[in-house]
Amino acid sequence: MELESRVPWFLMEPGSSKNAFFVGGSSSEKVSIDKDIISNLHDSIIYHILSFLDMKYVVQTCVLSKRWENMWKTVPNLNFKYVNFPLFRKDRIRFGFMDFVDMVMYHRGMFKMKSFKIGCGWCCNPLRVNSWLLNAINSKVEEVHISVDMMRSSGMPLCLYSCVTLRILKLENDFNLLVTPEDFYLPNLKSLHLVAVVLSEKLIADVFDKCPVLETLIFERCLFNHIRVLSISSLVLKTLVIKPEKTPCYLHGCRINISAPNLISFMCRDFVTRNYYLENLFSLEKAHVDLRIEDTYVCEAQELPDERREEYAQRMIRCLSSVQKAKTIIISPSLFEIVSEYPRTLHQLAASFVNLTTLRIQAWLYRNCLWGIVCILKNSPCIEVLILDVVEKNCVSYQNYQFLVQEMLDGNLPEDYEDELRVQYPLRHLKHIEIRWLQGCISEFKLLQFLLRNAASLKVLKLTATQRRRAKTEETIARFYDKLKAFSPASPELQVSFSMD
Amino acid sequence: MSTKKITLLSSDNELFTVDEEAANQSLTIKHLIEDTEPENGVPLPQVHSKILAKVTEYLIKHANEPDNDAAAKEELKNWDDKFLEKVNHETLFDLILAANYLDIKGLLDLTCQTVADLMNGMSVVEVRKLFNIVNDFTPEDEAEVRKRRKRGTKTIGPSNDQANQSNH
Repeated sequence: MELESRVPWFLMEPGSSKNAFFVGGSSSEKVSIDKDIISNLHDSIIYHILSFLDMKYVVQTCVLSKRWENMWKTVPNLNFKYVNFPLFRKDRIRFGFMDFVDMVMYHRGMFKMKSFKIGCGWCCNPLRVNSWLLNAINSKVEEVHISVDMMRSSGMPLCLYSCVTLRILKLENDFNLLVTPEDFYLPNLKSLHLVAVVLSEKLIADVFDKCPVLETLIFERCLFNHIRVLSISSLVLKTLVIKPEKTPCYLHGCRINISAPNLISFMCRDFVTRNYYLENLFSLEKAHVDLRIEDTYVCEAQELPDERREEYAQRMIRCLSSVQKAKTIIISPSLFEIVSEYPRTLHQLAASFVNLTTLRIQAWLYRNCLWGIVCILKNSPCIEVLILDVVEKNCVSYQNYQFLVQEMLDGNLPEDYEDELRVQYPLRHLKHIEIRWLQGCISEFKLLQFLLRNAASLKVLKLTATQRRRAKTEETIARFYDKLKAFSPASPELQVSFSMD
Repeated sequence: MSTKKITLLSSDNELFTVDEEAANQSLTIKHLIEDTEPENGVPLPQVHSKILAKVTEYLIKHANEPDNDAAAKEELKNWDDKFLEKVNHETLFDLILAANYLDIKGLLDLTCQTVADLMNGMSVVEVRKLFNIVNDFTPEDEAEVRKRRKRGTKTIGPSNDQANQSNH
């Protein structure tokens, strides 16, 4: 047994019990289940498996058998999490974790490192973190994820900002200002993901100045309320995600300029108090525009002043018209809600959505929103797929909510909206419609009527209803479905599927 | 959208047909199709039909990856979990080898992640038992390895090591 286990797998005879070369062949019946397959895998595959484990468990493998004795010293992907070290006494974990990382770094030496991911927690000494990163940099690391809690801003290791081999960087910094050094230069950085970082104008300028090949930029829960004008301008940027911290920006004039001719994917989840100016998005394929009205107005049922509402509507439409050339667009509820109140703004959309093939909408479907949706559909000559998520409006006042529900269920649409829906408008390419979380309300039915009447080549209609929202849904939905069946669609090959979750 | 069909031929001469789009997730197959235009299917003499059936199932499901749709992603993830739920270790490792050979990144990540999840949180003795790894250290060797690893470090929490040693 002992001898056999030392024979490398590739030297074994085909058909031998340890043979792992013929995938699935000769294995099934002959080999009993109690053979050690994992040890006979090629190093590269074992490394791949270990790359999903925390180093604590990777290091532990050294005593499994001789085959494993030195594997851990050469794994190219390292993950360290301080939470994997039991909480006994504060300084014990503290030194335990730091000593452990030190030990691994010491043993692996300068062996090529692909990724180095570390969650430091609140307890790590910046000097030691710095030394690990220096070690990683010397090992030609390509990807670094580092999360530091409670560390003084000056504590973020500066050596990282001049790493030549670095391609992917994710920094999580517990709401500290990120200070960049003078020699900031990351010539190969393709992806930068900042989480919970306080941005500064200098940082933004540096990022676009000193990272010449940066393609992906993600700001997640970052704070930049103090910046009056945030300018993102790049010729190489392909993906941009902006998801700021939830606190709305009270500075009304805060402005964000984005100019990125090669941007392919743009996602923004922010409050409409920030004023977005998007320019030159010539290559855009995918846009997710999720601009919201501040929570204070939504939650406390406080009325937003009229002139402000109109201004917000304008802003949202301006945003939408800058991403009009995209193939896939995702629009979220606030836009329809507020834009529907100011129909004029929607007419300002300069051109039609010429490339749009997939439209995903999240909306609470009371009657006004319907009109906005129809308006966009009429402006999208190439649309193939429409996905509609009927979401719940986040209103705290119960009366208000009851009113909305009532209106949705049996309210009639105003005359002019009805007219709008009655108009024939051929949706020639529309093939697939999906409506999720259907409520069975009148406006949904009206919308479906409009779609079924006009989409002559529709193939799939998928409806999903939910029971979770309120009582008696089942009844309502059943009635809704019967009504729908009575309606004859324009497309002869339509397949309707209906499910309840 | 191309709907060209690709036929794959397993080591025991079974044929599997998938859309070109699905097959292209395997870089190996993609290159094989680019280089030659095999008439009687792409020969995959390393992969048994039992495994290839699983692989094609995966390829078909993952042909159109959703990239922005959280709900669809969730559904696909659930499918992935079910896909490997009832698979025994042997098939799992066969799938790893097949994914590696066929160069299907998604499947390789999924299967390796599954193995890693099995190992996660386990002590040395448990991992040995799980994968039938034979301990070929003499007790002295093993003690030495443990000692060497510890050198330069203070205690790292309560180690599993003591528990393990008492098991020997």
